[in-house]
Amino acid sequence: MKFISRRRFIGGATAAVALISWRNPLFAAPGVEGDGSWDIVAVRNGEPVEMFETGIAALGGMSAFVKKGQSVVVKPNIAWDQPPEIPANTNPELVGAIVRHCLQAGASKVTVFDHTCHNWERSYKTSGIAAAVEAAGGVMVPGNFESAYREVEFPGAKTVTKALVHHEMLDCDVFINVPVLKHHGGTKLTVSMKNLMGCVWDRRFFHSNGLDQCIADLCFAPRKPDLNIIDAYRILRKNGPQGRAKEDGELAKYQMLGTDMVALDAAAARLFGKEPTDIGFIRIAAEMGAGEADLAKVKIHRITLDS
Amino acid sequence: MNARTYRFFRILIGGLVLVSCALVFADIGRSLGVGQIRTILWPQFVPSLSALLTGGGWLATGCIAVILLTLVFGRVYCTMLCPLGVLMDFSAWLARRTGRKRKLPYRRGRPWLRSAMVAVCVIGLTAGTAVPLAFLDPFSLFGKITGGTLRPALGTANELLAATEWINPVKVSPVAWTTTGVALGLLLLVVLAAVFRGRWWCNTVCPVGAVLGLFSKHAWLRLQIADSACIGCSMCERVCPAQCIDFRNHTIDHSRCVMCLDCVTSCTRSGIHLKTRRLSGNASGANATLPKSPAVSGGARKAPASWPGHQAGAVNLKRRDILAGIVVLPTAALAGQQPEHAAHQHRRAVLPPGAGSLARFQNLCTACQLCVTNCPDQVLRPSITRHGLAGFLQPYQDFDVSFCSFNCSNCSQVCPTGAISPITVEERRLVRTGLVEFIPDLCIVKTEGTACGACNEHCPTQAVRMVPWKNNLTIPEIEPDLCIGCGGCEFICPVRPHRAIIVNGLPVHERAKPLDLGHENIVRDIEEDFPF
Repeated sequence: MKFISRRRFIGGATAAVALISWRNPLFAAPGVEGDGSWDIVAVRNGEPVEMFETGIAALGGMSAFVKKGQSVVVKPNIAWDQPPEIPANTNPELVGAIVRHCLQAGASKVTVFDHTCHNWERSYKTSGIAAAVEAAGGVMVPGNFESAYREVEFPGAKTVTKALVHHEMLDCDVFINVPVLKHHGGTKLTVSMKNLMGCVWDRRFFHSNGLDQCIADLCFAPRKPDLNIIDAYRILRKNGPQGRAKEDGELAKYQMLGTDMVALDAAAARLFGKEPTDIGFIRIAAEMGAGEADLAKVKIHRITLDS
Repeated sequence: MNARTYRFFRILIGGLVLVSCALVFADIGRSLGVGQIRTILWPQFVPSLSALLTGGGWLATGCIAVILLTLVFGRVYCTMLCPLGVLMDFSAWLARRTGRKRKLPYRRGRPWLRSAMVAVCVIGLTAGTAVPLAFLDPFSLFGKITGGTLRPALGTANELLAATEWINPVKVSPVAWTTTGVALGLLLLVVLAAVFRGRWWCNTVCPVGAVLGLFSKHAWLRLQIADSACIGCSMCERVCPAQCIDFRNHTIDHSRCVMCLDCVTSCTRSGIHLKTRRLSGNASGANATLPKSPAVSGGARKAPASWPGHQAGAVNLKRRDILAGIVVLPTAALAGQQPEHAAHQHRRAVLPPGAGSLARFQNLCTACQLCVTNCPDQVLRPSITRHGLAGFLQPYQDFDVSFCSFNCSNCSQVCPTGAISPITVEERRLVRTGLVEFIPDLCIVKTEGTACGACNEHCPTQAVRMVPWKNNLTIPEIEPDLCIGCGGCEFICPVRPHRAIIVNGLPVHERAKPLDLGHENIVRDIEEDFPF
């Protein structure tokens, strides 16, 4: 028997009220706040749920992405057996809020998974994501069994022309990618494109065949994210992607939402203090025409919340 | 309580022990907690004795309780609490139900052979190896049999059922054909022994049976044949699985009696009773004065000729089959053994954290397979050749399959013999079971000139860190002080056939440099403008 904690109840109630109040101006004054014409909506200086609700409202609310009766897959980063304070995984409150919004928008089912690096049961638990998703009404499924993967072609990709991809990602109506911004020892950064490696079975192939090119090839997967939400509430500044100590994490309080993974990763690189052109997979993906890495050409809606 | 009620409870308790022990060793879903496992293991003699000798704890009281139980009631342990004994009774019962009834005539005990079996175990342990005990202790044998047969069978069943999405899949480390072959060979041996010779194993081979026999000889309660009631029908002798009743002389060898009480129910004259030591002394004294009925002596004279099974020749063919089974199965299995990947690269295999040292471990591990079943990461596998002959079927960490978690000390908690001494997760993080070795000339970054860092990704302590290299790339660098030997780097290294980073087992485990796991996140100052 699980009880809803006071915090979760207040959170849920706030979310529900917020959703209703944000929907009204959407119908009353289209084209102002929630017209969804931004490439990136960036929110800062708030708590994860608060920033998400502001951001998704600016994109027209979750109902702009999820229609009634559709199945949704949310793919956070749950790769490691680390607690939220060592930000190796996506923030659990954010994942919970996304699941809740999807169900409120009428989703028939919201499924959450990752092909974890550490023991999947322990990672799901320690990250706090399993508890948050189940409390919100979502379903956690394992991503660590080959039987759940299906081989598909990647049209337009260079190295990863075909790969075994998790069937949940391939078969869902709406796919939402929710990475966390982290340092990575090999590729320097891991953001939205790299997060999709958790939908693929054979990661050793990626590492042994030019990791940056393979990550860029993920933009050409037959199933592309309908929405990407970058969790930069806590950023893993060093010892990534697994992290070792709480000091490795930086409380940055940022969040970026959008559909163009290349643009989002480029913005995330800047936030991390790096130039997008210095990051191999961003440069390659842009050259392949997967998205816009030149932030000057990207329409960014910047929102700073009052603390 | 009459003998039939006893029989009911004997089968009930025995059945519970058999099922719970089988569950412990074939629990692929790891549904049992450490507390539940330890409760099930508590009465098991050898694990408990080993726990007593390696430091005690609650588990260590089990063997004392078993000895006390034996001193009062005789070897009820063998008939109710030993999973292998129950398995043997069950197979013999099944054979009786399906095939012809076999008579088991009285045989003289072989105390010298039994003592020799105990001596072999003790000599082995003194010489630093638990191998003789590993293949004689009934609990470990039961573990090897279940772990090598039922566990992979359940694993395959799970795989098939999971494909239909009825149940969630579980990870089961691959079981080598050798392991299954040895398990099948042992199972065949035990079952055939039970079918043809009842409790022969328990009274000839089993060191626990030998030790408990010393106590049961002096048990407070024991079976007694009343001379006055005996008509010499030989029923008791025929049903006795321990072959310890000599109906002609009205004697029962209490060191071999496993207290199944089948003789009590078989006796048409209700002439076999449980008596306390003092009473039984009186009873036999009283009976001795009574004249024997003619039927008794007549029966005794005629009996041997009417038992063809008693003649050695009839058993010989079967015995040959048994021997053939023992030899052929494991040999066939060894021949079909899969080559172990990357194994030739290692100098030494890695032991589970808590093992302390190879010498200590090999002296205590009876290769029961409990840690193998219970490893949440399924990195532990029974060694075929990795630990050498002295470590046959003892666990090693196979980094081809998985790697050892930084946040887990489960194997040390479930190990029933103390071979993996119990440690906490915090202690586990400081135990160095092996040491990393980086071979730069094989590394992707150097050979292909592309980014990788998979080893660093998986390193929990940053003993493998990435440092700047040519062309804006980073390459691994080792800080051995921090390495705990978990094998994450070796597991994920994509280079084949030889890996660019491996972990060599340490013969004596070391203490790794402690890590400061930190207190707080760094707080970012919100910039004037967005950085993008």
